Amino acid sequence: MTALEWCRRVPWTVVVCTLGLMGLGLSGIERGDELAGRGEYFLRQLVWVALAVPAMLAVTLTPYRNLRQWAYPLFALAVVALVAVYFMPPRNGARRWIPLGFMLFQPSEAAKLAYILALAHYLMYRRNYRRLTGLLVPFALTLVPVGLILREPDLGTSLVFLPVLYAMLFAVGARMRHLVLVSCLGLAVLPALWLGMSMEQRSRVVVLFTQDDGGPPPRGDGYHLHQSKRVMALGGAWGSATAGPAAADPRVYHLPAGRTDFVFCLIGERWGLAGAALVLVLYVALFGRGLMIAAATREPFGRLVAVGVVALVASQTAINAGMTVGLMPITGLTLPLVSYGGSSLLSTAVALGLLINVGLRPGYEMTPEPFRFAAGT
Amino acid sequence: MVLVLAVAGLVLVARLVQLQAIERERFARQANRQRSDIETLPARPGDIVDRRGRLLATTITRQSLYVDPSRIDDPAAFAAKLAGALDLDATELAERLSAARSRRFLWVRRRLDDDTTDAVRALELPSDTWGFREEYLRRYPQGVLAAHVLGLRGIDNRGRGGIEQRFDDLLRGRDGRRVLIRDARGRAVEVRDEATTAPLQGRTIVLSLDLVVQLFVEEQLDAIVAEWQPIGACGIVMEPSTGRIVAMASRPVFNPDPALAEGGRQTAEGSEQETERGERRQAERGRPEADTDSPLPTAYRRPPTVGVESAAWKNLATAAVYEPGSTFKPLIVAWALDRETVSPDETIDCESGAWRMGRRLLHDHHSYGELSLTDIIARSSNIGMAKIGQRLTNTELYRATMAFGFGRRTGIELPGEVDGLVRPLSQWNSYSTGSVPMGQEIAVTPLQLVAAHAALAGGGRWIAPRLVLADVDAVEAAVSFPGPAEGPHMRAPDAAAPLVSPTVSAEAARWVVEEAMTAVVERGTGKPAQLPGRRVFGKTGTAQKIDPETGGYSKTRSVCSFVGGAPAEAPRLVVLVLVDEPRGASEAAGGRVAAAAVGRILDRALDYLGEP
Repeated sequence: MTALEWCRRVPWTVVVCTLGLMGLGLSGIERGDELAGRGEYFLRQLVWVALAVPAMLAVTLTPYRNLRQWAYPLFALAVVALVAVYFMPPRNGARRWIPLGFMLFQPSEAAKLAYILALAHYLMYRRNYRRLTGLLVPFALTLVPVGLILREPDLGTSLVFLPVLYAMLFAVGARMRHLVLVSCLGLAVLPALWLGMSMEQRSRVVVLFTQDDGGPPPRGDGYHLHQSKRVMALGGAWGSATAGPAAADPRVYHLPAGRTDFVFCLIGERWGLAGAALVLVLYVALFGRGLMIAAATREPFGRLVAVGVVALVASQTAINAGMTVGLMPITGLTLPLVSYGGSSLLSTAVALGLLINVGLRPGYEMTPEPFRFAAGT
Repeated sequence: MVLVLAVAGLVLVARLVQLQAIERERFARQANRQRSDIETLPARPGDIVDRRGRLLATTITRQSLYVDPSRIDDPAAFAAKLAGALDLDATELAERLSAARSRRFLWVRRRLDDDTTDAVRALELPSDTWGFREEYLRRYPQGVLAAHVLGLRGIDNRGRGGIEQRFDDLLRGRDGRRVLIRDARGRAVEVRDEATTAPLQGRTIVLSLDLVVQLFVEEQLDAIVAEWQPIGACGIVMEPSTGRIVAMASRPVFNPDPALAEGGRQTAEGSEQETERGERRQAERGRPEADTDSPLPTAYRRPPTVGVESAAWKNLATAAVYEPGSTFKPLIVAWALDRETVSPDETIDCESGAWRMGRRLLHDHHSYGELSLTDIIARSSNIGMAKIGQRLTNTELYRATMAFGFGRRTGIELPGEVDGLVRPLSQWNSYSTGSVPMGQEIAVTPLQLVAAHAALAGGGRWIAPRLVLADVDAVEAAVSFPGPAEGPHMRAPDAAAPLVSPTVSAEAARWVVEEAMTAVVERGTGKPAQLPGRRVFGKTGTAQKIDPETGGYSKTRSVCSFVGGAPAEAPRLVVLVLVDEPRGASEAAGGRVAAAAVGRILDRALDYLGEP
């Protein structure tokens, strides 16, 4: 593929949206540095962006289909890394990271990608998922990383595997009634899940139903969510960047994990409703273009990878944006491309690189439209 | 799938609109509640001074160091610098700083001394990371002197024990407050004058103690402790004419000062295990006090005694009870004279040292025949006293006991004073008739005993002992100090006029003091108290202690005491020294153990007071 050809075929929407979101993320992180009064998260994130964009473009260079043979080994490697974190020293009570010296590597980020590749590879030419029993292997494949990540513990990350699985099963044409049935079974075990949750996790669910918008900050459990909503709300329609800060006291803006998990609030504070809406618009455009790539790709592995990547990034976005405004329980999930953090940014960039890669090579083989099933087969 | 995305997006947008457009006003209103802080303006605890205005307890200003951990970029380097100046462990401090990184305020060390303050300033750390705040520190410049009278004021500014506790509210004053409006960076920009109340500074308490006499007493007690190794000792000096306590000391003792230095950090040696006779070890430990503003001779720098056994906190003068023993005899004789049950010139047959009284066999230390009333006191004859008791009967003995103030608190301005023990008359029996005149069957505090003898010395008027001359504010104290010559502004917090009650006639009292008790010193058991050129009067007492195992009187453990005064013609001071369980003291050792000490205290104190 020549450079010219590359430029012509690249789905520029994806690239532009990605850069836009990274830029907005940087602006939010900068505001976070300013409010906290210290730290150089902005500069460090700038370095990560400078690394992530070339990484994303580099992923587009070799045809994605070469990855097929590496799908299972990569998945196995990811599982090994997930096991390895249990032998690492805990940070903040969780074992999620492997220290590499220059950075803290979070294997669960890489595992998400490896999982998409492995699942796509497994589902590619099969048809047994049309039967209920055929869903056993995909679900089993999912439960291995989910179980390991749950034990770290990292409830948020483990949760995003399920939408990815559902989206990919839906894309390959699994029967809706089977998926609904499995979902109902899943709902049935919710009480058991509740009993298995720590007090901290439970309180995060409880505060979701006891919100009091605009009241005084609660002591204890609801504080984080309250601050998150307050910082967001104080941005107003146009944000502190244009209308000036709404409150004089810096303590009003105290926001734990602001530059990482709650960066959406900082963008909402700096650029107001307009900025927050712009973030969502960029995401929707990104996902829409991603789904178009999937639909246009006839090669089954590529289509599944595209669907998986979109489902992964979209579900993370929905969970993170939802939790900052009090629609979802607070979990430790980052906002893809926007939050501060190297692992997250790199893995998302690589995932989107795969998406672009698929978009570059829609597959001109004389293959029939994949995953078309006559009724009843 | 597009549908799912669209729904999720719409829900999010709707929520954003709700928060950022509709609810914004409520959030903003709540967030902009004026940031006003109430700052406490601490009141300075008042001084405690002696009758001539010498500082016994005072309050100095010290700098306390705080940091803003959130602005410290490199806690390890920061801690390493600070630790050097503060003599702290650098790694420990670095951990504290790191652990508090999200906080804006952390005390590093409070109430630094001036050298340390300068050392910290010299580090020239970034000015937004640290600061000093002034805090008060209670100091006791005289060290252990009068420790039991003063008590302690901890860093919580709460008085514990002694005058500090008794007049806690006066000494503490009342904290003021002011309301500060702060800007976005937390700096104070405005003070609400209308909401400011100035602190009410603590008042100065003027004690009747005289620091120099107190020193004489403490020195004598230390000498007794060194020589006799008792489990306790105490000494009291009282003015019989006014009821004022001039000195009051107790052993074992604690040192109030090092306990407070450096924010209550105790020295390592304070944690050594304590034994029954811990105070001796304290004395041997020997670390000189580094206190330069003490007016006392450097010879009197006792070692710090932090961490002493709990017994050291007890003021034996008011909180311990003993059987008075023979020191009780002059009081009964005075009462008998007053009631004309005996006459000064009669003699009483002392039965050659052994007399059966009912079923009880009484003994004297030596065998005496006919003894004059004077000699019964001077030789301390138990048999003679029992016969006087028999004449008086229990009713009169009880009256005498109550009239001299036993069995109830004297009302001195100290917490923890006890009543002593005088059983109700209905429980007295024929045994009591013989026991009470020789000072048995009742338990008294040393203060009660000295007050009773002060009543004799003062011509028969019992005056409630008092420690506080006045409470004044610091300005008054500086302008016109209310010394012993009371000014019109004097306001004693308790009992403006002393509580006075009659006991015996002046003639009876004078006879007992000038004849009988003077004879004790001149030719009786109290010879060690003799002073050249002074007529000293007094009475020894050696009370055997109850042996807890047998329930009877112990042969080896006793309480030796001497109460005396001078000059006998017009007593200026009455002094009591009481020694609990002196080691190796034989029977009737009151004279040897305590009388000499009383003599020396009287000699030096009267010299000091200008008494010829």
